[in-house]
Amino acid sequence: MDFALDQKSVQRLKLLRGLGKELFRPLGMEADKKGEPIPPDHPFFQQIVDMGLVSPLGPDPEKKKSEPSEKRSNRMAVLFAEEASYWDRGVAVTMPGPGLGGPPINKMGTPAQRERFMSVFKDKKPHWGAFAMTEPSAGSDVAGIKTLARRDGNSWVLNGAKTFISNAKRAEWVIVFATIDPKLGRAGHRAFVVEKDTPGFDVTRVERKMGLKAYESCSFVLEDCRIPADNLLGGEAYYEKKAGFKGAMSAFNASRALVAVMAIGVGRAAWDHARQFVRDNYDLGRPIPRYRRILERLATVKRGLDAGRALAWRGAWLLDIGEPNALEASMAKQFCPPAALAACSTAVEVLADAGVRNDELVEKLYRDVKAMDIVEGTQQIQRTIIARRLVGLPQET
Amino acid sequence: MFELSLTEEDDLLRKTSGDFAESRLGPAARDSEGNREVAAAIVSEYRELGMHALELPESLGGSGLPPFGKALVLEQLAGGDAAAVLACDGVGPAIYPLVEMGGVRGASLLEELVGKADARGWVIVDREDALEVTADRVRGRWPWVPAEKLDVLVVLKGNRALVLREGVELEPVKPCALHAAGSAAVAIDAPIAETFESASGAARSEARLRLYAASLLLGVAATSLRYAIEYTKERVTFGRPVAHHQGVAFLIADLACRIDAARLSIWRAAWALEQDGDPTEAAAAAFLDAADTALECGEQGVQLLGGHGYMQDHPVEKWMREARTLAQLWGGRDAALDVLADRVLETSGHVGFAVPSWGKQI
Repeated sequence: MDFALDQKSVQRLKLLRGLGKELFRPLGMEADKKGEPIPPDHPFFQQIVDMGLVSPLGPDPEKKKSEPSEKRSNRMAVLFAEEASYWDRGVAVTMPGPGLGGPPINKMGTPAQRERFMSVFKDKKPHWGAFAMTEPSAGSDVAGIKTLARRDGNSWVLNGAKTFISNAKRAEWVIVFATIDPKLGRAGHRAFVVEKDTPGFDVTRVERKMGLKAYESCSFVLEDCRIPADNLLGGEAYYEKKAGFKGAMSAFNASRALVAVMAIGVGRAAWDHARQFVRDNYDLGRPIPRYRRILERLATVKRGLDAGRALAWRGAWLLDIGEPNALEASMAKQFCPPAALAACSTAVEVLADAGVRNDELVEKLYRDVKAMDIVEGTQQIQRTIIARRLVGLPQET
Repeated sequence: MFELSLTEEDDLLRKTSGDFAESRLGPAARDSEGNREVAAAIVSEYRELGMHALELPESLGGSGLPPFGKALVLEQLAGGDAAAVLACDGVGPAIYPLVEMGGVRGASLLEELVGKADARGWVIVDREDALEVTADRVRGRWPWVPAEKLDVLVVLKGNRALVLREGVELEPVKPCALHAAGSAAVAIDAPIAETFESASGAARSEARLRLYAASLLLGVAATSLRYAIEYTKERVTFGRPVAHHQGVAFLIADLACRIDAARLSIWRAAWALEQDGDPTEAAAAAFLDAADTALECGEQGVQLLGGHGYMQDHPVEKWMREARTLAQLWGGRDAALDVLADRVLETSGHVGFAVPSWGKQI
């Protein structure tokens, strides 16, 4: 048992911390004020690529899957995700790299597909990937997706709509989950790689969100979108094992711990800000009624954040040692965002009237953090998953 | 024996204000937020209905409505747009210290203010001595008020109400919510126009401020839950309406209970204000019940809509921000808890005073 970080990890985090302070935080605040995402040609992204900081879950074709390097381990990923989100979660999501599209390519893709779709990230320029599961009528109910895939000769033809997809407008490719026949349920699910500029793939809008303005959340339609048969992720053989839905779920098992710990990063930023505010403004040489309560509340918030982080670390660690982590990833995802929301809401209260001003960080964090309780499965769906595994709650409940 | 039914007049008030909120304030709320002001036509209708003058004495052209009636109306109006209420409510909550503490001078000042069609007023409760007060001036900065123009600012400080008419500079700032009401940081270097002093008047003023905020919070909470209920009844996941999943249904049931409890708490505080006794405890409890409920309903309203709730296509994200912002008013939950603890523990003064300063220790 060892909760300590090794020196290399500490150094990497230190580097990211410097970057976060210098770039992430100011860029995130600026995007929030403008209400616009950071444009893909912003020099920040090239800087990130030049520093070799592209997505920690990115590819490493030289390494075997079973032997992830320390740098690319899920444990390193959660450390990075928390630190990056501490400085700005929106900017963290807009970082170049395969993003949430990385895990399905790495887990489900054939060696040829991994080479084909990941090689784009080797050219030392900013590129993005994206992951598209959510549909206008299917969010947490991922099994209910309606985007239809039809085989036509040596192609697949996709029809449907996806929504709230991060970075889809700037992505080189989007992993699109579709069904070959809704009657087949989960067995009908397939994952496809839809490349940029494919005819029939049309980003119809960039959503207007409450927070997290730094990155674009997109809706797109697929209208007779024809892609090569080779773009079926994992190839036909993969789905003969009825693994399409499982593939998506295993991707979630990796990303849920990440999203959970991102929430902790946002919450920690709010907590730090509130603590500093108290130090700066409330030591007036005399007791004030709410001091005692602020102390208790900041301590309570810290307990929640620390406990949540530990849950997320466990989820990542299990993945790294090749153990199932579906239950543990859901536990982290269920626990962390509410703890982080409480941290942000408390911070707003600690700042009193100043807390609702847009030029105060905590006001932004309060709006940003709510999304973390929704993306990658709401707390409601996490409870269902946890209950199914712990007490055998029936599937249909 | 206690009696909880509403009179015909109460029902009419609720219906009139509710209809106006639903037909006029609500549909315009996003535009009002974007424009950071309420359209002149809506302001005009608000005034024609007399909503801005409900608590004004009849001698000043108002309805002389007691706190209970005002609470009923504020809940309904806030269901449409709480920011518009603050924008349209004229002198607004500044009426309370003037009426409760001002006596003849307060009434005269109120008469002067009411004579101006677009007069705006606000109250700052300076519990933590952030402002410097001398014999004839108030100086200092206040981080935020929901207004960009003020004809009168009343600073409540202990048992005193300090009325400021000039020397109050407002610098616009972007707020979390309530954009349509205006939003500004305040720089004060002002001569004191009037000083009113009354312990019971100050307590009643604070209680009425809390009741005002609580009623708005309740309106936001209730409208958020109503919207989420309709949405979850229509949206289907896992083969059934979202609302029919137990985890969601129970959450909705819990929130509905909290809203009803907060409403009754507000009614009790309004009733207490209409009696001779001290309304402080009931008003503080009402504010806390409403604030906690609104914060929960605001956040869960977004949650119940899932990803759609986070987008500005639906109003729930706005209500979440509004709840968070309204819950900060006049010292927010902290101040209300202090007051409540004082009353419950029968301590004279602040319960926290026994605790040593610890600012540098955390």
